[in-house]
Amino acid sequence: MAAYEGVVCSFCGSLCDDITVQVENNAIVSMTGGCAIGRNRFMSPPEANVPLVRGCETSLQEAVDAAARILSSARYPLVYGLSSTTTEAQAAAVRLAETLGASIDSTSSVCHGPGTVARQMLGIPTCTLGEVRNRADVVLFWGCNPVEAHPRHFSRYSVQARGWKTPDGRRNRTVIAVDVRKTLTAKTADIFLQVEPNSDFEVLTALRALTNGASLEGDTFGGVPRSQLAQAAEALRGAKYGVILFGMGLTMSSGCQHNVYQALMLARDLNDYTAFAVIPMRGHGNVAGAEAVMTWLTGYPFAVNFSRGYPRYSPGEFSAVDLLARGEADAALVVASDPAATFPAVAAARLRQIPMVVVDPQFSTTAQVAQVYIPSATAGIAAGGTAYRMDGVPLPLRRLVDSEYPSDQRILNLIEQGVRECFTS
Amino acid sequence: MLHIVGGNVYDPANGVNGEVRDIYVSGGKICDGECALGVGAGVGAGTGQRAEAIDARGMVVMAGGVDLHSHIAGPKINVGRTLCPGDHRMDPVPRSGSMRGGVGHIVPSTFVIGRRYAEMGYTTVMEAAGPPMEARHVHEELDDIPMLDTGMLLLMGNNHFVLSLIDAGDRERLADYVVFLLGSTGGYGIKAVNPGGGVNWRRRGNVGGLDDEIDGHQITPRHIIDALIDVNEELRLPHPLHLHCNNLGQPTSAQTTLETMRLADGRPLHITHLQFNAYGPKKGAPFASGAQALADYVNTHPNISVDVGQVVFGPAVTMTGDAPFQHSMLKLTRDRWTNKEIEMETQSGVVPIAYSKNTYAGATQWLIGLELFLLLEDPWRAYLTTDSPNGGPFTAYPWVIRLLMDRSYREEVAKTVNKKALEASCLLELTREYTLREIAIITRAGPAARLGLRNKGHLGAGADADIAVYDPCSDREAMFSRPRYVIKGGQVVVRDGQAIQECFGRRLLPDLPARDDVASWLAPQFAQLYTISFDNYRIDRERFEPCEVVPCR
Amino acid sequence: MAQVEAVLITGRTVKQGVGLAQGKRSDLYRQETGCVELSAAAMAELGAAPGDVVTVSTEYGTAAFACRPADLPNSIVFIPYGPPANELTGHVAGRSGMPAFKGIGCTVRRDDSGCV
Repeated sequence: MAAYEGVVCSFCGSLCDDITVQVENNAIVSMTGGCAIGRNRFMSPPEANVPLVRGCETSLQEAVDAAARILSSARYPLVYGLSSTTTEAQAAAVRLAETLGASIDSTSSVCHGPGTVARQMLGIPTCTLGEVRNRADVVLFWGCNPVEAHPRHFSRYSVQARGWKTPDGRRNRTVIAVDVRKTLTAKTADIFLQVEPNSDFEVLTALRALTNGASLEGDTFGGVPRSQLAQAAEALRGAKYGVILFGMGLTMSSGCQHNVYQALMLARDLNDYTAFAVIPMRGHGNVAGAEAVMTWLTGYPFAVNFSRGYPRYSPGEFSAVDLLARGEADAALVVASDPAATFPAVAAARLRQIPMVVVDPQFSTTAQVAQVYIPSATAGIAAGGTAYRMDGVPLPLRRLVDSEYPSDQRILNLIEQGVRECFTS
Repeated sequence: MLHIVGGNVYDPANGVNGEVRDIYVSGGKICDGECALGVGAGVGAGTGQRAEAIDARGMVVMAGGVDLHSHIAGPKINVGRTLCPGDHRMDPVPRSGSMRGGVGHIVPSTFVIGRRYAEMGYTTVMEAAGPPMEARHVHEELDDIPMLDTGMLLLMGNNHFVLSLIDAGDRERLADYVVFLLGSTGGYGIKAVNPGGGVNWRRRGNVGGLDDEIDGHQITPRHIIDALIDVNEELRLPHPLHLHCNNLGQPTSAQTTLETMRLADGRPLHITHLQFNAYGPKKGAPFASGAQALADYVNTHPNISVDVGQVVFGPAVTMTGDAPFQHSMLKLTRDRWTNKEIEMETQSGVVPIAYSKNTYAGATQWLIGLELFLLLEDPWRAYLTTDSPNGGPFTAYPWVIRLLMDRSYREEVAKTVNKKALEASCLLELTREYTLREIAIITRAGPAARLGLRNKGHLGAGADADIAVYDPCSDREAMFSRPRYVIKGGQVVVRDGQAIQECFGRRLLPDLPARDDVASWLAPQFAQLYTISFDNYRIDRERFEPCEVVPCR
Repeated sequence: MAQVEAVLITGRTVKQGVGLAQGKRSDLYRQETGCVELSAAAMAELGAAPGDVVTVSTEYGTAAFACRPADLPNSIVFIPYGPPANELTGHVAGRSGMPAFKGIGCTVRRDDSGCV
């Protein structure tokens, strides 16, 4: 039996790395640490999947060859997913997309992409999660629900966490929550601002104004009474080290990147008075890595197109949902992601119509409708590599058990080789 | 096997100054003629292999360029890339053959960085500032930069444990900890940025000089610099302390930098991007040149080396661990601003700007850089950098070389800049023109020697076969932006100014002395203060392969 | 047939996350993503008891869900992320690639036939 300490759980963007895993006969037999989701991730035995071409069992090599043929004969291939695999596999996917002249997009475009667009317009004052744990005395959760989406965020980093300047944890902090629902996160807050749906921009604008001491006409803003906003503004101004943690309540609601822009401006304003940081609550375990890798390889964080031989960037044009909804993509490679289950109906329907290659440890909804399915070793369990935490801190993913299938990186490299051969023959 | 025939060789480290010499290459190294021709018993002997000959008659042959301070990889430059989609769009680089594409030009993508450095004849670059906790990210990007041997200077000037050990006067443990940091994160040397200022930045403060208080500590910036120089010298690391001084960008910076150099008191110290630190006070203007006093000091103190950090006109992206300074830049530009604090150890800021020759400030910064180049007498201790991309992109080096080598061109450009700035400058009185030998020193031999890279920056037997061959041309910008050949590790990678194949270099690591293991005292504190586990902070040694271990002094 | 006009929010829940980790074919995942949360008042207006099947319609589509009460404003209904929710979400042209996942106008109906 082997015990591994300091194991990283790469399910969500918190990348908790304090997990101990026991392995016996090439299977994980127990684990300590981690949340309910993490426990299920590590303790669910891997599915016994096999490579499939049009539903028929085949060899890895046959499946790779079929994938290369599909992708190399497409006029407008799309490479999508990437957020639940290693940076090494993400880099391999970018290389493959470049060889194909494809569009490449990560799940970023349907989660925090608008926040990234806002960061491009404005930049971001930010920090690592240790600064939150060690210093933050005012924590504002806007449109995110870590109690359910990042279950250990409160205890490891942001609320109960006891740190250097916050020895009493929760008692050292003022917690503010803003949401359209009274979520489990909102229920723990000292101040809860319940906004009307699609009113975040208005509420943020009013809050900025009050924070900067401007006078405002009106009694409620986006459903929030002025008195509550004033109370929140005072708390923000009074912070020694404040942090805004935001989620898809901002990026998915009406206004999208403009909502995030206004949140970033609020933090920028507050930096004239005190220290204030913003951290996007990234969902997938390595979606931050996907943006980092694409940025260093192409200059752009997501929604990149290589059809002219060099990278071009256009969210809304080269983003996956748009390419599919407009019926432009005529083949797809999906890596470690399940767009058939997560995309809006119109985009998911297009995916079902076009030849698709899926590389995924799980036989996902998308895999079930793919022409080619190639099972891979699960990143962080059966394949090693690197993942980036929501705050950009890179962590090592280790191989704990052996898989009969290669890593995503290896499979993508094999497909790329196959594509090159198709192009030259 | 490669034989470069009949070039005019500029190899100042070996006293060769434009003489016609043949250069022989075998096994990725430069060797003497006998060995290469198989007469002796050396590497190529008896193989019967015929050497590929490069006719370099009439051409200028130098070692491959060495940049000891450039922001090329890691979280900070990736933020810069994120902030500049418009810049990328203006400079697309298509893939060609087996070579990857990307974008430029101020904060290029990784493959383009390697390609463009090589296309100027550079073959070795040191990333200027890596944060230990995010060092994995730096290495991942360095792995994706082709054509270059690379290393990373490691940020330590605001590190909690460094400061606490100096507080406690525990130099032994400080040395242990420095070795731990370098070894476990793949750092090449010690970098300090605005020591102490980053700590006070946590409450949005700063330090205003060498003797200001630092929150939570009994020491001042003076003590940090003093201790880091001592540790660096005790460990005999290949490169001296690499220092970004306090008060950078302020009209007090020249004074603070003078005091900092005095504090070194004969001990080796590298002051980086001196231009950004060479400002004095001036009534009715934001600042004036402090170049003369700084150059005078450097000229008479051989323990000091500098790189200039020349400003070039046009867009740039400032990025530094000096977060308080970057916030002051935001107040000037009111444009994009990213700030990041990394728990317990460092912080950074990124702000895009543009240097205009029409403004007093932009022109003065440009003039100060040139004044420094022309006033600093010993090229072995003054190196060409733009602190890329802070003062402008590294691709401007050939232009800077032309400004240094061609006085009439320099004066022509000077006469187009802000009048008030030019009138206040001594530039037009400086008649010096750099020679090819001096250019070879400030772009290769000097930085290589100061980094302790014994196999770089020269063309003697045993050196790495990193070679640049230029067509002589009176327009030195044209000459240095289009080498006829660049050879990396014995392979021709650039021909007629164009990269023809990708190769991947090695990671440069110091041969660290054995020290006591820090885990016993550090791990418990680390667990209290950091949010990642101690073991995940350390990067496996294999991660740095292929690497070259550089001996200590 | 009773109906309620509301705004649809989709989002994550712990059970949905655990279901994801167990696999999308797990019972937990299917059950959780097949639920809609309504305010007590909205449930009363529809005459629906917990577990009853309701249909939710948006401009993009219609799907059936088992309803359950939650601490929500009357004007908001919540559905965990999953394939059923995505029958109701849509592509919005002219945005940054972000579909309509939150804040979509919807109608909730209790179909007396009880058919799913």
